[in-house]
Amino acid sequence: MPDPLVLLSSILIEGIILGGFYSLVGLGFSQIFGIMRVMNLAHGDFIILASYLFALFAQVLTNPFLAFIVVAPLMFMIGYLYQNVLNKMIYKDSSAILLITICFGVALENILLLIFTPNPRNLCPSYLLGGIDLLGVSVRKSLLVAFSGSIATFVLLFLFFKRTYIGKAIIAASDDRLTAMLMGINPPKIYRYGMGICMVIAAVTGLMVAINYLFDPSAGTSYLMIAFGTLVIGGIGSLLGTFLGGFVLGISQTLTANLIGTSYQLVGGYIIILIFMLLRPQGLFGRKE
Amino acid sequence: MEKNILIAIFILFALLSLLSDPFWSAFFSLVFIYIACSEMWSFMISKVNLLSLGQQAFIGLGGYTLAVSSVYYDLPIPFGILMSACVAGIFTILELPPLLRLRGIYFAVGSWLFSEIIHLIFINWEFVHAGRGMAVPKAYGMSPTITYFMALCVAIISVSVIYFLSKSKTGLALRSIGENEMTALSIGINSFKYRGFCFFIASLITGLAGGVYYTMRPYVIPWEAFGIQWTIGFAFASIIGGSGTLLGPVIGSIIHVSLIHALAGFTIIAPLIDVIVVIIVLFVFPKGIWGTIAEKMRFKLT
Repeated sequence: MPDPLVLLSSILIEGIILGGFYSLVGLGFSQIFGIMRVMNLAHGDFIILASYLFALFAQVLTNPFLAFIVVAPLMFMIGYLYQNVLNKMIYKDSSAILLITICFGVALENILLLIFTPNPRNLCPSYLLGGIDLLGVSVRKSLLVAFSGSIATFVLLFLFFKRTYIGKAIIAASDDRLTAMLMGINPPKIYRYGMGICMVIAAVTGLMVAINYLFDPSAGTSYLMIAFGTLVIGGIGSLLGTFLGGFVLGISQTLTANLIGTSYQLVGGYIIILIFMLLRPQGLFGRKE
Repeated sequence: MEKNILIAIFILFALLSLLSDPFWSAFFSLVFIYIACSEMWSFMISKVNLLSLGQQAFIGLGGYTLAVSSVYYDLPIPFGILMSACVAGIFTILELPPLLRLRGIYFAVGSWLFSEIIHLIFINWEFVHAGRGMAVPKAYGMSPTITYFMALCVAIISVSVIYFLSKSKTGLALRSIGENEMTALSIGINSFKYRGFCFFIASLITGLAGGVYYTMRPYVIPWEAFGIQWTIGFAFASIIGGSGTLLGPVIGSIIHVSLIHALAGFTIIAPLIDVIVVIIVLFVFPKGIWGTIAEKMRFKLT
């Protein structure tokens, strides 16, 4: 049994690094929900789709990070077209739209299965293998890349919402659709851009998934659950909430992994989500609706 | 009208057992399983606005209860099937307090989360042979006619429970919750209690159906038993047929199972076609086949 203080610090550091990655997983999902009030149950599968696109283009461009130049616009286009379909349903029926997204998820999973076979893959380049010593705890290099990528994405998204016209229009359309329309904003069009941007975030997530973990076409569900967890813990439409929600999930998972066993790691995270649902349904930073 | 058609259909189903052809009896048994569960699924969403994506948890629990009671406790199959319903009910009572606090799409994903938790536990639990799956030894060599009638019974129970509930005082309360929850609360209807009751009934029937399904296919594997494709199938059946009607899920289940059988050789393409059909139906005629016909012909629906 190691010294409890050392164990605690290692759990915390591992949890924070993992949590940064989870915030990134939840970011696209929670922004889609915040902007369009659509719970995109295909999000996990879109992340895996991005991972496979990276695998495809990394072969041509020799480097997964370089492939981002191709994959990001591609995912933006996919998101734009996807929202085109969803827009036809968006003000009518919230449960129908939920079913449509889940159907898209299943369709995507099976298409990936058809094209890429169920063999798991990984894209970690050789220079990211191994770990770095961080305050006495060894942390995987690739996970650190994911952590910094996550923070960069959050900062960029924050600036995008504050500084650019489209960002402000997205915020306006999500806050009050009618007033935004009176100000000359066309919400369906803005939603298409919003979904495109969320899909670019999914592309970043897919890259981080691809260099950190083994992925296969059916891996989407567990990422969807993590994304849902950050949304529940953080509250609707709050960037800070999603960010902290990821950390809560990450730390609770490393805690269960260290105390009970790595095979129950996911269960620990899910139970934290349940506790939040029971005690604080509106999340850490959400408004009560 | 709808009631008479349903009675005729079920008498026809009972007579079909005289064919005693193994292929068709397996086919129709699966249809009955889907009828039982998709009736319950559409009942929940149309009456009290509960969109559940976690029905597969009860199918899996039912199957595992049957396997455990047969392997470890040596119970006869019918008793094991009854136990399936009990275990599904107990699990529901445990998950209801947190789940019912959620509304709409939150409830949907929350119920999915529960089924994922139970899935992960069963993957790691050595008592149920972890990820390797469990066989149900007693169900091997059972006569197809017996499973046929068990499945038919579950389907009939499911349909008649919904029919009589809709006619009763409870049914009125449920309908008022579905139409306007705030008004229902203001006239003293305990919406928490009634929504929980609906979910509980649905879990009992789905657990029962799970038990019967795994007597037909006596090997339970976690990823198959707790897969989301179950709930997608129920949603498919009720949406195609017409969610919120009694006859709709029956029609939808027949179409769904025919699709599964027609595409049995293509395990990947079958779910793809499934979901594409659902998307098209949702866009083109959201009321489903029976819903649209009944609207055109002005039938009175229960």
